[in-house]
Amino acid sequence: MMEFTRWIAHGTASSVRGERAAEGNNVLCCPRINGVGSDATISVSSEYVCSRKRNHQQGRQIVGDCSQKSCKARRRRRFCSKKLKISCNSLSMSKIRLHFVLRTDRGRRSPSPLSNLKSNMSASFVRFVRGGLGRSFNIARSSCLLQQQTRAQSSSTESSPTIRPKDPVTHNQLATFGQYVAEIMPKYVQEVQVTCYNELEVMIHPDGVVPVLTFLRDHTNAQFRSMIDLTAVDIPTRQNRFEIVYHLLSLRYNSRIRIKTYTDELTPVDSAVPVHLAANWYEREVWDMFGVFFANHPDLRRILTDYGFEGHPFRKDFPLSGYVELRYDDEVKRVVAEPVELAQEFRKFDLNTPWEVFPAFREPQQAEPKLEAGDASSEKK
Amino acid sequence: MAGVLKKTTGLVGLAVSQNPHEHLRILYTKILASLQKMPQDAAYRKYTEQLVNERFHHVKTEQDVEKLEKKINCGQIEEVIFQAECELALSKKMSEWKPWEPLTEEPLPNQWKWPV
Repeated sequence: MMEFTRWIAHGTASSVRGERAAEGNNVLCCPRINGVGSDATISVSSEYVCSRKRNHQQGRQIVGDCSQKSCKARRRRRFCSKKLKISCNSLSMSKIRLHFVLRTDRGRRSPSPLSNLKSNMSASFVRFVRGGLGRSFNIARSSCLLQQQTRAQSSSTESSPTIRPKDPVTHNQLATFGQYVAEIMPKYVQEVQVTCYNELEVMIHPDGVVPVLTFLRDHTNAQFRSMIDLTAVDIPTRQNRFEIVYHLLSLRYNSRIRIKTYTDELTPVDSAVPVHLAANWYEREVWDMFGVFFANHPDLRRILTDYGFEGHPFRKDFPLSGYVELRYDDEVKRVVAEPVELAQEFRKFDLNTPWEVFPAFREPQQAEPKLEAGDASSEKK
Repeated sequence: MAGVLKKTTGLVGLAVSQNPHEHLRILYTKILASLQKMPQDAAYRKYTEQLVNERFHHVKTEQDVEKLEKKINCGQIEEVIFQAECELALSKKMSEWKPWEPLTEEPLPNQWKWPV
């Protein structure tokens, strides 16, 4: 017998996989090991902490031993299907700690070399831990256990990485529609892309705001009749430093689109109010916060900042502390605005992180699928 | 006939159409006439003609309103009328804007580069 793999799980039974607590005052676990090619036994010891008494009781019960004959009969495919039972007496159990020791007998039959066996075993054990344990943990007294914290920790590596599953159907639909828009309006559409989160983005020339938004609203195949959001992004390093972003929703086709255009501090952008009335206050907000001027806006006033406020606070060059501070002056009996005085001297913080922030955006890496406006897209069709 | 049986569309501001076929026929004819003024190879004209002709064909062949709604498959017949009205208005504006022309201005090379 050799001790083979050790795995310790912290966590409450109800939480290991987020399963609901079930009947009975027990933790039931039915370990399933698939594909184990050798003899192995699993002993389970439990150790639980009573949150009231705060005393640890370690290794109290060796609850089950799986080296049963009935198990061996099926050991090739399913190593053990016997249910192990860990009884938990305390009602307000806050933490369960399971300690699994996987043992293997190499002496009796070991056709495969040790390394092979080892990997085989550990892999299957990981599978057991991830599948069988989570599925089978059931605890009663949901009322007291619902408050328990979730913590599952595994010393073994995850076999399947946590990646967002791809949705090629949606991606293709969006890409096709993006091509469609680019083909119809090559005069205004500069670029179309579908992001990794399946969001369609159409980059347009600022002259095309009203035509593109009207087209998307009125065309039968688009019907983006709701404006969800309009905002701006300030990127001071660019020559056209402001990006104006429009988010639209098509209730008919249950789909969303993002339109992006650009401007600098002085060039006005056409207002979207004639197309979407909802843009009125959004454009006032963008004007207030970024100082982007919208031509033909019916009522372009400050909307969020205080009366008499100067400057555009969301610009990157606007200082965090602002330019003026307000205080009540007892002598003049009113609130006065004074230039801000900082008690602390100017300090330079090094805010650069030592980590690579955008590992997915390394330079030589291939960019996201771009669809060129106009001719290139028509070739694909 | 449809107006007699159907009391409401259930949508605010959208009244039941008394004679949807006639209404749609006029609208589609107007849209097609408006599209005729655009250049032959304009993508908007091509796709819209295709779309309108398909719907117009359904309107001509199918007399029953409910079946027509199912064939067009874009909501109630009143909504389809509304869509046609929008498309007609759009097609007139499109003739002004001429969006089939080549790109007005190329973006600056780093304009759409992200992260900066």
